[in-house]
Amino acid sequence: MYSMWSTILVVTHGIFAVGLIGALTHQVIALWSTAPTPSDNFFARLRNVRSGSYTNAVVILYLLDFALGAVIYATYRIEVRPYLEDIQFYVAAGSFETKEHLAALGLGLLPAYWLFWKAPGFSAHGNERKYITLLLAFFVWWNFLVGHILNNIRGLP
Amino acid sequence: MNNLLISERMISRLIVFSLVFPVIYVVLYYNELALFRFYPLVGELHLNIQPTTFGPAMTYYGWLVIAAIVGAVVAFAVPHRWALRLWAGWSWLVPLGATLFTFIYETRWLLH
Repeated sequence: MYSMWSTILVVTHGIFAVGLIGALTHQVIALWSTAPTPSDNFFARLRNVRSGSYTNAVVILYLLDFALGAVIYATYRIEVRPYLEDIQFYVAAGSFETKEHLAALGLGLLPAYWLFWKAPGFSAHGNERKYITLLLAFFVWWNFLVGHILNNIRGLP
Repeated sequence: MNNLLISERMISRLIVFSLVFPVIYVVLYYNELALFRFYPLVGELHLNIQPTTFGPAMTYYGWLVIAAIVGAVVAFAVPHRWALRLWAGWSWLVPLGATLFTFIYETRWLLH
């Protein structure tokens, strides 16, 4: 039973993260490339999406994913981190520490992220929107990759 | 639509919250200051450090709660006209600084 719930939580955590990566990567590509042109090219079509429409979904997905991660973290702390320390795999343990901090910093960044995409009067702040979105996308990518690799090293029981 | 959903005052509060939260969070984890500790082995929250029989202590939730509370208090305490004077660039520079600090700080794991 314990194992089944851990698996369900980790898989759901990963699915939410994939959704976040997709939405935020679209937004980053849209913000950092030139104006959209009709094209059959894959990257041009990525650019052509209405990236602002993802903003609310990103905020909700981030909150849900963060909550799941916070629940899973307790099991990680007693089942995985001691193992990593026992085998002296400190890079892996340290990467997870960074992951937890970036997840928290992303949580604090969410209000600003939402404002620079959605709030009235913020449309002129293109650079701020660009850098905040890039930062949030970096957090999500880093956390996804570290979580995925750590799960390969030692999954939750 | 968004004009109906959020006031200018709330906008300035959200900006201030996003600026204060990372600073407080970094200060808390750097100094290991936690309002409470969670002991996952026994599933208990404690204000004080418990014996090793309780298993490892988690300070993460305590940092999050304090950073959120302080961020919210400051966001409501800062006068609206002050918040409006803030340079918009701080909104990404402050979290970027906290991120760089985090990566530098966590290199301590490489020194074991």
